[in-house]
Amino acid sequence: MLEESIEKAASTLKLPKDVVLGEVLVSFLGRHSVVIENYRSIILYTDNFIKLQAKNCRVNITGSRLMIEYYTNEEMKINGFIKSLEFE
Amino acid sequence: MIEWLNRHFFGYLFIEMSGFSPERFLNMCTVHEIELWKVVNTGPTYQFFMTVPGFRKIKPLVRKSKVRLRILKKFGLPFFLYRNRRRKFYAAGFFGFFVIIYALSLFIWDIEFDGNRMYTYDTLLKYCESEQIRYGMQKSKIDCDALEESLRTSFPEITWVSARVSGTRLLVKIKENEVLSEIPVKDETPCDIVAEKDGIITSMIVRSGIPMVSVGDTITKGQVLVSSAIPIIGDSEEIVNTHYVHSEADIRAKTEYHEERKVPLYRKIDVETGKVRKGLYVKAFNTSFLLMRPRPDGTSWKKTMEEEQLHLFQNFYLPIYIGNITGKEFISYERPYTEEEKKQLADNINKEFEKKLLEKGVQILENRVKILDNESLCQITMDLITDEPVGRQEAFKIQTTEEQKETNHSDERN
Repeated sequence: MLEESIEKAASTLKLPKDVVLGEVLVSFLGRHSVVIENYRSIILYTDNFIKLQAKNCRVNITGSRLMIEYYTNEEMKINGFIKSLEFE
Repeated sequence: MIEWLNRHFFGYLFIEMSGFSPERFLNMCTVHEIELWKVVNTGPTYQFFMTVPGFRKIKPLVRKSKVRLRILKKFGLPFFLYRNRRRKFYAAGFFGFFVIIYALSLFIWDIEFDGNRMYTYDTLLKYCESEQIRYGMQKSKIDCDALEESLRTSFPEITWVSARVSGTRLLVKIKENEVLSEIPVKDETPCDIVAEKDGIITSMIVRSGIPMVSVGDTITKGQVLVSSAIPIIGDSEEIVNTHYVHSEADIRAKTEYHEERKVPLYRKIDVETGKVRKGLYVKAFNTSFLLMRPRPDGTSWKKTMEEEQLHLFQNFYLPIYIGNITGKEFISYERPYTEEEKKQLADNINKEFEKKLLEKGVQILENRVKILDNESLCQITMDLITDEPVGRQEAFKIQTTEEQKETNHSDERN
């Protein structure tokens, strides 16, 4: 209920939703690089599977030779051969 | 860039991690704001980079997440210094370089003048030297305002000066007065006009004074052409007084020039063999160093040198000069002039002479060149008939002689 009202407010005020709602923001650069913003934590990290916790969902990335180029509190960049990205 | 510098300055590590829950460790690192990058999973272990200050903070995290860390490699300045801690002279040299550069930057190594047309570089430089401003002096001792002031007062033609020190150079910009600063005072002292050369008068324009000759007259050198003495004749047709004026006239006369040049019959010819020797030359302060192969005995070389001052940046000149020397071998031999070469030579000499005359304002009417061969010398004679101004103002000094003449006359009368 609260979330919905916040979303409405954000859309009427034309504020960026990723900032206001804290939703995960995924941007791909081709299939070799992906930047994930607004994630919470890493749940699992292996060579071919990465599972991240976001605010209200989980993000699964599958691929091979996955490498975390850098990561900070808000942002993470993953390089490698990316096969798929799923939400749970 | 700043990040890169930061990492290198404080050092960073390449670390291998293995253990129970690496993800937990990674998450805790973000919470504690410890920077990690290039995290790679290689089967059972994880490898990543980490800064040294970060590494100092992770001990409790390691214990909590029950992982084991192993340092694989160390990078950055602290480790570099530690590895090279015995190389003291290396460090001394490194810092010595900066010290020397700083020391050199305290002096003036180049003085440049810009905008000077009337005064040459050497005049201005000499003047600066007399003002205790010279090449190699300390920068802090230069007072640009005083230099500007003194330049303006000592050179009246300079209307605007701007002096500034930039890097190790003293740049002086000068504006010179384009019009004459003073009007030449008209010379009013009485004088005659006297012939400079022998000749026949072709034209005469007399503005003041009494002409003593007329067009068509033959004159000799030193003859008075226009007299400054104007007699004032009274009613009884006798000279009451003599008034002396500053005579002025344009007088042109037909004159002749005879010029003779003697040239040896044999000419020396230098032929380049095509062999080139190159060398370098380095000059610092008063010592110079030459890098060149010694010349083989019995050969002669023509050398040219290009010198250049070293500078780090546009205005950071150093007291070091580098010269490029190019030597070209030549062989000289003598052979007689050919007829054509003689003609060419005579022509050249003639042209040179003509040019000299034309510069003086002489008009050339006729020009004859003759080449005569002697046994040992080649004689080139030039006969020119010219038209030129011959009048020369000569300060009036005939007064006494005239007086004498007058006394003579009076004697005769008596």
